[in-house]
Amino acid sequence: MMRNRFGVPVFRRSGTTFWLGGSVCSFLLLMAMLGPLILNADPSRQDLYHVLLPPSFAHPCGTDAFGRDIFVRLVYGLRLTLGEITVSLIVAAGIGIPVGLFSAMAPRWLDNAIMTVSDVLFAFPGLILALLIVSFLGPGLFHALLAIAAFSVPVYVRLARTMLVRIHHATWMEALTVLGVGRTRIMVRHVFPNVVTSLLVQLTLSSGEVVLAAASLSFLGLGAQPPLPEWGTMMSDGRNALGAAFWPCLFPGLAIAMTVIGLNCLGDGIRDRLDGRNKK
Amino acid sequence: MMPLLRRALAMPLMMLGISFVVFLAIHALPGDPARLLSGPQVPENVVQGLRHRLGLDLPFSAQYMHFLRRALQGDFGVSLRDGTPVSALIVQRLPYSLTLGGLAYLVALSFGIPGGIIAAVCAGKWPDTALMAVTLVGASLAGFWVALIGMEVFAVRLHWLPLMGAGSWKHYVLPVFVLALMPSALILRMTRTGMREILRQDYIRTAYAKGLPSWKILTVHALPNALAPVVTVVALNLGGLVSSAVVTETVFDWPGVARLLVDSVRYRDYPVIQGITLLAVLGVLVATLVADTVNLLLDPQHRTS
Amino acid sequence: MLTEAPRSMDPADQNATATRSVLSSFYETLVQFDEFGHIRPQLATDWSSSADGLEWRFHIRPNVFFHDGLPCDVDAVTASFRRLLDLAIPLAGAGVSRTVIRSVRQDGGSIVFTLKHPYADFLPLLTMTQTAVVSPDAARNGTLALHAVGTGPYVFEAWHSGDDVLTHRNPAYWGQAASFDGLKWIWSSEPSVLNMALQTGDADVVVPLSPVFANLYREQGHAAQVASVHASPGATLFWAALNMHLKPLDDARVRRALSLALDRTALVAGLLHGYGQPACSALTPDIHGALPCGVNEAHADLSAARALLKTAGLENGFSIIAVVQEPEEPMAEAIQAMWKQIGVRLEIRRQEAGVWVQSAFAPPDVKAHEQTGVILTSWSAPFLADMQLRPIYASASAAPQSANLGFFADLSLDALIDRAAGSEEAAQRQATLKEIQILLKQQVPVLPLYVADTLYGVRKGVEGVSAGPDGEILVLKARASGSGPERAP
Repeated sequence: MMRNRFGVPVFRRSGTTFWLGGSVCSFLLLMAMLGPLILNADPSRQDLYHVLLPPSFAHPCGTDAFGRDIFVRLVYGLRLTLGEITVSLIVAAGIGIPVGLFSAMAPRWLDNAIMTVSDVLFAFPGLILALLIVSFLGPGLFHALLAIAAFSVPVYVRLARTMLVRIHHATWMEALTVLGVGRTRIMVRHVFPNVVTSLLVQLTLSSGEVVLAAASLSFLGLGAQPPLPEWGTMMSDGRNALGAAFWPCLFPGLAIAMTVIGLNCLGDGIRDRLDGRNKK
Repeated sequence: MMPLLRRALAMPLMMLGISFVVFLAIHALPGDPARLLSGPQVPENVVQGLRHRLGLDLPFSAQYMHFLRRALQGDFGVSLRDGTPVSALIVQRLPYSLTLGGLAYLVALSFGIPGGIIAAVCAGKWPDTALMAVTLVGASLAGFWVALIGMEVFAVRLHWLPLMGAGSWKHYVLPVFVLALMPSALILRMTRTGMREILRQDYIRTAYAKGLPSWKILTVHALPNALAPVVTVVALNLGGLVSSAVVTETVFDWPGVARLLVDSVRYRDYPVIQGITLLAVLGVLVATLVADTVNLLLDPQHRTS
Repeated sequence: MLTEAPRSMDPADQNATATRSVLSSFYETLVQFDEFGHIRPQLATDWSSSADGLEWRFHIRPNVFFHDGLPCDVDAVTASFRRLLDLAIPLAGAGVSRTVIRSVRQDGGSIVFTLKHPYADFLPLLTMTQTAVVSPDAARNGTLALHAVGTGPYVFEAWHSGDDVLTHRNPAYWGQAASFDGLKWIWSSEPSVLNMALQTGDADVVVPLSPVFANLYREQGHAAQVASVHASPGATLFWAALNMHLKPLDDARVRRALSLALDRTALVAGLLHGYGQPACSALTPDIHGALPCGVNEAHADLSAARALLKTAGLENGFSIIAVVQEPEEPMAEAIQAMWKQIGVRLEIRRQEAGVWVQSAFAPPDVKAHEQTGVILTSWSAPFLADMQLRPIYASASAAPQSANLGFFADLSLDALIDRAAGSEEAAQRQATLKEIQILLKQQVPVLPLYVADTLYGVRKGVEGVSAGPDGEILVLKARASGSGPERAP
């Protein structure tokens, strides 16, 4: 992290990854907001007499096994994908951060116990956990998201705890206090950006994982229920035609890849901008 | 060494706790194994008989105690599906999963570590940018999608590789590639970060100043210190590897443990799910312990912290 | 290559098509259908029945031996059927036999069955793999579930759970010896993998091939050069049961409206790529007396459907919940879109097999609690009219007892089903069956959707493969054409 002469973190700008990730993510956000308004089509409209049509001018990404336009479904599915990310991150961070903060301030034995449980949960194969959770709750998008959130909770527990402990012991913190900087000012100017940006990096990077995990669960038949145009489900359904028609599997896969790459770029970009030492 | 020892001693206790949670979770799953095994067209009294024969009509606590007593003797029960002992099923399939996972890690390490060093040394130049782009894409693809596209291209269109199953070395290529994607990216990035950190240290500058050859500085002086976080990540990522193995083994019809798990969940084959899940947890716990030990050996400073 | 692993090596303890395909290489039944649908001798050489149709006598083929070396004589056959009928032994596939056969005894060189009531479909029943003759030793030792011992042309070698079933040729087979050294059965639940395996040669025979791929083998290209695809008329009826206890499905007008809104031709075109037939009646086409779809009956009539809903006071539509197993989910998704056009909102619950069985066979109170209105599934009982009707429509078969999943209860229908089962005379029987089908078309307790063809792919160089009416693959007569290498399915 770039620091000023007191060793306090400051921002630096630059980085193509940041701009690349940022533009992909803003493009996706824009598409999610405007796409359905522009297209104004029904993503679940079927035409059983025209199934698995190859990509053409009328259907840029072809049609799926029910004769639905894949491009339309991808655009409408974008909102779902963003919703997925939001829900599972809110659940995961909403549980993980308070627990982590509590753990950092709790008596040592309790702290140890919480962190042990969290570590075991972290080490536990996520998909197996999700498999069990979804089998228990029944398949469905929301249940799948809960399962995904469950295995991302430990990440936030550790992150929150580490940050609090680190800030507490940071030399710049002492320095600022000694210099007589007010507590509010320390919180607003120095602690808050520090915490928020670390969290932002983690959230962006986890978003990519959420999309991939949701796709994997859908692949195992545990994700969204029909006729939701969920990308993972579309890709997973599309695989049943692979060999005769590649497009129902290829395009949702590309959409997922683009989104995850965008998010990862953005996460990396933010981190690089904070982490001055990583820059030449 | 003390914290390690303490953790090693705590492991049986943790396994006990986890076994209870897993047992509880598995039995809470909706779906009745006896009904599943019988099929829908079978009258209820027949299913009841099967339930009794399998011991599924006992109260939960009795079933758990029974399981625990036998598990302590190394007996994890028999599969509800075909009566094969769970341990035999696992022993039969574990080698397939281990070779697949082992090879994937081997590939990941032999790509990730040199790649990471190169990226660190050339930081900001084109090899760094290229490698980082490759890892970014690699880590962003859904494993099963890569697998399916790979099958379509290399097996069906080009006929270079077999489609699925296990057998010759060719059978390993696609599944290993798919499994290695994520850890490769992770290891490369961790190595790069670690190396850059180390290369800035004073002792490395001193070594350069002394005129030591740079390959020696990199491999002998810098690498061991940069590897500590890599080892941790590799160990922590084991859970992730098991997760992607579930998907990869399913797609490639690989006769490994992970696919057995998916099948067993589908059939509510309690003893098998229980056995495999505990094995996975044990594996991950041991791996983290080993990673910490290795870290300790790599970096004496760890001892003080 | 199949889509699912075998459930058991015990023919009496399974009900799955894929399992039957595997088991048909090890086991034989007393009689069997030939390729023209006529009953032919197998382990029985000839047979006769009493005038009242209650007693059936079969002469057992001499000099037949089980794979374990025991003779398959009348003692062994009787023991095999006694086991099948023994209520103390839980056997998944014994249901029909137990409801039809009262007792079995041996009489000199023949075996005599006494039935509970006359049963016109008794011979077809004896062709079912579930009634196959098993080695008395293996049955007694309880090893049948894992290790098949029958009389068939191939001998069981090994079952690597999750991998394959290996067999080798039975050198002591009583009939014409099998032409391959052995068969290897493999499976994958991925439809696209089956197609790829056929193209790469990882499998020589695949069944069932997903209809998506069928046209690949009819066009010019690699696929058509290496393999061919055959469609054999199936007897598996896909249908949706309606919960008669759940409002508004208790109203026959609503049920008829739901049926009218279905475009069955489109279902066949889209889901089956044309490889099947729309179904408008309760019986499959292999039954003499099954009614075909009338003119325009297979197409949707949305205005009529809307009008019916309006008379029922539901012009704004309503919401219902459907439960369906994963592989049959596309069916639900297509229906969902069709019903949406008449304002009926269908919520699909895609469930794993085990969970589905629990919800589908749940009693009325549970279904009411879970709000289960529609249950999508399939049923297959080729040539057995009674087995296509009784389990699904008779009031005594209401779930959880049997497969009357929507709790339809109509005393006049029950009487008709009994009458059809008891009538030996063909014309009289067909008249009764027609009466039943018309009654069911008015009441619509179940929506018949379509009958799917069995599609199977065979590599070039393999001949003589055929598919049974039930969708199982028959490879016993398969042989290599020319001097091609011997391969396994």
